[in-house]
Amino acid sequence: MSRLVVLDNEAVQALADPAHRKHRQVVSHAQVVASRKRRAAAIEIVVPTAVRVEAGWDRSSPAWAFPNRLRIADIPLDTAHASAAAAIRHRTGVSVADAHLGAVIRSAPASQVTVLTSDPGDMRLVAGDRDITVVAV
Amino acid sequence: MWYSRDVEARAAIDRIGELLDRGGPETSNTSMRIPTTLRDAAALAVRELGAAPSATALTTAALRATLEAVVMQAVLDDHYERHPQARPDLGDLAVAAAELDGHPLAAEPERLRRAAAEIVVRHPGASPDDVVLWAEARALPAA
Repeated sequence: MSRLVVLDNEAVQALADPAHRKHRQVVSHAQVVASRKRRAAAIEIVVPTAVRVEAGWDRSSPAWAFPNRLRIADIPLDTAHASAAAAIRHRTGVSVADAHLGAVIRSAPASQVTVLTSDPGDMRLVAGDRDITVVAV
Repeated sequence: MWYSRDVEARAAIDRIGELLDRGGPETSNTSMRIPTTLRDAAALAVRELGAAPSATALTTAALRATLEAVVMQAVLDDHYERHPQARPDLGDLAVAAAELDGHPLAAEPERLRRAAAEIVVRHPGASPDDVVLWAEARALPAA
């Protein structure tokens, strides 16, 4: 079994800012992922690049050093994801970032997907038929 | 002295991260010695179980995963040193573990926190998953 943990805008903001009221909660998730990876569990944290744009996460900026160093992989808005995200956005009217998130969820090869989000309703909407675990941040 | 050690560790973390990200096609022969039994077990896993395309691929994947985990933990430890209030306790971690897995007890964080407080008294090294299991067992009706 493999698990993909996907961050939305609010989760990114909370992770990056030690003064954010949800910082410790999101760090707890990162810590559990790190511990499981240490035990050879197949688990990854990722961020769709459109979410990174919305959150203002600039990988070249020292202000983002902590999340940059945490081995959180970018999922780029490539051709296939852009088409899937466009369709999701057309059908649901969500933001570009949330549509990209939906495209990532739907195409994820991992057997399990968990989304850390401030908007569980929108995440279930963009996930379509894909069964996901939603964690409210 | 401690300052210099911290700076060196952070530089090493960043360098390891860069190397892991680069992942180029070049390869190196190494003189790394591994136990013969481990080598034979890897060869069997590849040949009979299809664990990876080759023993080299299996070894490389395992090494990469371990390095990813080591870097991630080092970054978190460094963050806790700078921001002690960000360090989660066992209760926080048990709640996070349950949430990540979509476990029903994620809806009862206080039960998990109580279980963490109980288990840590007898098992200081308990993991968040141990706490979730303990809380689940406590929730079962007695047979």
